[in-house]
Amino acid sequence: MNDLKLNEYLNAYGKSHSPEPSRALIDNIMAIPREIDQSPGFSWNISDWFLFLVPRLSGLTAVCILGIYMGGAGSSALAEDEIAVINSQTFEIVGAGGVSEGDAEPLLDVEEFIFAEEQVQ
Amino acid sequence: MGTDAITDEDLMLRIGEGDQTAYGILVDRHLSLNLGYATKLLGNEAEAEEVMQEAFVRVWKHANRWDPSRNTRFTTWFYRVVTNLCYDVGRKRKPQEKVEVLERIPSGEASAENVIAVEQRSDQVKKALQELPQRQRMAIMLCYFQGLSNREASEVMEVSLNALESYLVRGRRNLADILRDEKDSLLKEIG
Repeated sequence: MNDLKLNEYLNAYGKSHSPEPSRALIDNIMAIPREIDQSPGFSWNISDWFLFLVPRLSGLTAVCILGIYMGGAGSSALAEDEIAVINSQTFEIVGAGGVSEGDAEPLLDVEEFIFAEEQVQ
Repeated sequence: MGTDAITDEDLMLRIGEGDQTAYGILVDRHLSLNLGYATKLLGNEAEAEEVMQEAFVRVWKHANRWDPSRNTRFTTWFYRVVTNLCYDVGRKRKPQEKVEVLERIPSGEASAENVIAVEQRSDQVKKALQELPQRQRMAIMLCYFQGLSNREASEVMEVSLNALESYLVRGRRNLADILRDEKDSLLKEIG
């Protein structure tokens, strides 16, 4: 298709696909100022800035304080929980029932572990 | 002094102060042209009407932030708003809705005379335009149908003049290819 033919097609499309706005659309668009408030512009009024900043700064300060408090308490509590889990760990030996806490330390020694196994047999 | 002497940028400043008459003048100047643009870009008049409503909501809401020192032309800014809203609508569309637009194109059952009729030509162009990549379609819309200069169109699209010209050349070439293929297939169906 050459340029001339393409322009012919484009002109035909341009003429037939340019809808006029409907009455309803115009009415809806003209009603916008009555229904929607304009965004507040920039204000030099100090009281506006005071009202804008005070609640936000208060909230931010409260969140920071809470974060410092919870952050400090949170990490040490977690570490203690981990130690408690290790202390209460229980080793199961087949047929010997549970060996826990006090018995757990000697079992780390290989010789004593073998001895305990022989006793079971 | 008639309203023609007042520039769009001055009207925006007055709208920023809550002037509803200025808003009415701006709507009168830009609604029709931009509705045609949105309709062509989307291929759907109902969606284009929604886009225009949203675009004028933005004009009204943000007019008080209009900064004349930035030397932005209202037309350029408004085309950008309409274009971005059209992109949003296009992104939200479901796949079957795209198909629906294409299905409205007449099939090859018409006579040979009707194939070359103006109405059918424009429908073929409509379909072909929808198949073009978004940027190429937009370049063709702005330059051929909205009557913008290449410089103005490049400002609306926020690309360099060279890039805009490249979009135009590739867009025209692709459009011609699509239309030629379609014409061939129609003639085959008839013949």
